Amino acid sequence: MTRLMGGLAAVAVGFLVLPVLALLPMSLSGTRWLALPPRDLSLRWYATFFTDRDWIEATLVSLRVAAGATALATAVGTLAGVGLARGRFPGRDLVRALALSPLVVPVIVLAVSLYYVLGRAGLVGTLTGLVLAHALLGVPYVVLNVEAVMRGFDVRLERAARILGATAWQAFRRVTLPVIRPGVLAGALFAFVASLDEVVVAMFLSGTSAITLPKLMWDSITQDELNPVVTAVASLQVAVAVLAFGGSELLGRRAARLALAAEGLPESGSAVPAPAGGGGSPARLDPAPLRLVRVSKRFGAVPAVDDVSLEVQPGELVTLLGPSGSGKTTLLNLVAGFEPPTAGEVFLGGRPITRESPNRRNIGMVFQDLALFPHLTVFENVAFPLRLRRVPEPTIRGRVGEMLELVRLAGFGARQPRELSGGQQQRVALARALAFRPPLLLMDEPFGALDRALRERMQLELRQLHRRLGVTILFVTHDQEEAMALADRIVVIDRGRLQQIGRPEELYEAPANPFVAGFIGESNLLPCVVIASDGARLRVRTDGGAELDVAPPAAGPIVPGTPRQLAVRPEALRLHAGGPPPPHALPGVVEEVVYLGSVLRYLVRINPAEVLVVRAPRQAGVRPVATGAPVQLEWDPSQLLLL
Amino acid sequence: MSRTGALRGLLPLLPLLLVLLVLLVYPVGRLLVSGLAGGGGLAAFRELATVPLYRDVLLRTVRLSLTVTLACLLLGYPVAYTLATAPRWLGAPLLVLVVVPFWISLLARSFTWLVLLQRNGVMNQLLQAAGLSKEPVPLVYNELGVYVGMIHILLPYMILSCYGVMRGIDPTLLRAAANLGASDWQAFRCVWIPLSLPGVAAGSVLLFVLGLGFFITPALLGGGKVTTVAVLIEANVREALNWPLAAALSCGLLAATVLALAPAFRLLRFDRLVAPR
Repeated sequence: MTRLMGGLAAVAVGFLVLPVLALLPMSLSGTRWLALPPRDLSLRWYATFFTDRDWIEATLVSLRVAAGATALATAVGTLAGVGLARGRFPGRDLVRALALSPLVVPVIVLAVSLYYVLGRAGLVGTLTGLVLAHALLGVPYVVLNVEAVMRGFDVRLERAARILGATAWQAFRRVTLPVIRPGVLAGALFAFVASLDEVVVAMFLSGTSAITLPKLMWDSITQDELNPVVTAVASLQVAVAVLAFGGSELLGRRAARLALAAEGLPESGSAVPAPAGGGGSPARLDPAPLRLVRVSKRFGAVPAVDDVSLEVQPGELVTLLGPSGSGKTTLLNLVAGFEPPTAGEVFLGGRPITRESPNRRNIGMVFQDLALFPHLTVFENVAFPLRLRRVPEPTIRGRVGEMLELVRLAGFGARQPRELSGGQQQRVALARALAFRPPLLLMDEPFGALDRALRERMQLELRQLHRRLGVTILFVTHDQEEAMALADRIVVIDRGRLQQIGRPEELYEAPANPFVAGFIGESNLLPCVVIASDGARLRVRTDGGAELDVAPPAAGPIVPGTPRQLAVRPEALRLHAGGPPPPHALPGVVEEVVYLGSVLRYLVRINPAEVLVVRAPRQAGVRPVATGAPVQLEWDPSQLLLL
Repeated sequence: MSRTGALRGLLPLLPLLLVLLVLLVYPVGRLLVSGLAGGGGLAAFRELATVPLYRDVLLRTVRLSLTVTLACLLLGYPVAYTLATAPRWLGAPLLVLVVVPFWISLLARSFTWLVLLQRNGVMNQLLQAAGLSKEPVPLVYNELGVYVGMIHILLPYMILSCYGVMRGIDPTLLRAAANLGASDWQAFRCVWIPLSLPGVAAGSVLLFVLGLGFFITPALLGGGKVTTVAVLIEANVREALNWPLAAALSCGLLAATVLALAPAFRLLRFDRLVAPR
């Protein structure tokens, strides 16, 4: 199969390459009859090209037209490519199709149309007419190349620039443009080569006064009996095209590398020095309280954030915890100013900021993929927000040094972000977000990509940093362990709605609803009905038929007969194998035993419909209860929660 | 707010919209409107449909384009397959060989074929040396020459279109097919070909459309004997000054382009053709 295809492919590729290979020897032929192999080698056709006035003149016209058309196409196409890659607006596909249509609409139709219209405007036979027409033909190349690099471009880089203090235009000029520059140059190159090669449009628009090189070639072929100078010109064109193609390949590779670096792929397992207490003593920040009042955000009809009110005290570290798609990142984006809320107000330090653009909010932010600028050094990344604030140069140097020392990266200033390990990149992002001493720091799952050990290290460092700087921090995560390890208070959010706010132990011990009970730690959740109440005790029956005694919940009286959920923590149950049954106990059968080191995890079936998870500490010398063994599950009524 | 957001998103597109309006939409619209307005357009369309010479041109253009598309598919598919399955040391230079001709002047390539295929050119010398023919065979200034030139120019489009899709085919699928009992040929026929069809379809549509509008190659390699729609348009504008007929022909070409491409536009990955990766 492969051999057959390979053979056919060789034939096809040979056919493709043949004229290219034939061209050079042909151009070196000394005779006018263009035979192969060339009879007398000579450079006479090249000599003619470089000395004949008509050829020189045409070359100059072509170069000027190509330069003008390329400049115009590049300016227009770059803006358009960025706009198309990013914008979601009605008619986008149509605009894109129109912008690319010069690639597929027959050139003869374009040429005749332009001839008709430009002729009336007196532009046939002028450079202006040719430049305009060639620019139209060049635009698709620029648009496509810019779109291609924009696909690899992380929009968060621009958002990062915005929240660091850049206006939309500054963000485009200082971040987007440098990063996508290789694509822009590649597009310009293609537009230039295409213009140099354009003949159909030139046939109509050259007139008699602006004859381009391809037009002169065409005339030489059709009216001058295969003028061999054409082979010399074509050979030179091949050389230019090969150079251009090679150049664009290099640019493409550079673009790919920058895009890759922008993703900030952190390598795991990097050596991280132990957290140090020393390293300068930067000024404590002036923390501000954050207040959200009945904030909602809808995308179409879908509410991503639904009527959330929240207060974060100055200097507090609050985690925003929820499963993916719960709206926590949207909420963070509302605070940062990347999305306007559909309803509600956001206050920072008592000042309403709901309608302020991100660059004016003065909020620090560490992005999920860090969004370190791949075209800037570590030093320049950290200096970026300071430069935007026109901080004097000596102060910048001092502050950046101080920040790098704070995150223990002193001496790394000259490195490129991609030369750093994952943990080091994290710390650069943190230094950059804190460099302008923001009163509030937002963190969007910054440790998500790190391996477990490194993540725990970074959490510890963040806590220490927070204690030293006293900045207010809102930290988004989907990892409940991380939320508990970091937070003064945790905000649990699900499907856009606030579920519960509280200290970690409050959430664990008194979850407000089944979602929180299941999301924070592990819980057996059993649908049940209250069947009796004597004031001090409630008796409930689960759907599977088990009956248990429960302490009544703090939140008001319970009417017998109402359906509820019983939450039982796995460690609130005690497993007894053999011996007399304790007072509060359910009989069951062990279905599964999982050995987890210091604890054992049992799955115990208490009736045909219900299986409970039980966690028991492993006791040295005591064998775990075997699978299939009958057991008694003892519970303490005060440890069970009725939700 | 969302409305101003959308408007701000449109801002960078304004220069493009201006260029498209002034240099594309208005000129093409103007040509069609002034060429076809009044009774001239109707008469031109009637002429195209009834005059045998014009009917021949239309049919020839479609036939040329279809044949070229088919030939490019037969030649290009194996190349794409080889590119997609070959080891890197072979694939990378092969790709360069495919793409470099793509970027060489259309005029230069047509001209080179002209020289190679002419009466006493290399091809005829080879044919005679091999004893296949005593007389020089007319290889150019006829439809054969046009076929060679057009295939040469369009083949890279087909290769890249198929290759783009094939590169995304998971090689594990072929191993899975083999593991399930498929021979090489069966795996190719039942797994590879169906998965590569989007590239084949997109490439075929693109080639057919591009082929309809070809001008340089038929004009040069056809030696004035192979009149296509594009050649006819040029003659009517520059020599016969018959604007209504040129407008009617342009209208037909445009309609064919839009009708053929509109459904496939999303399938077409132009960036694979002109944007480096």
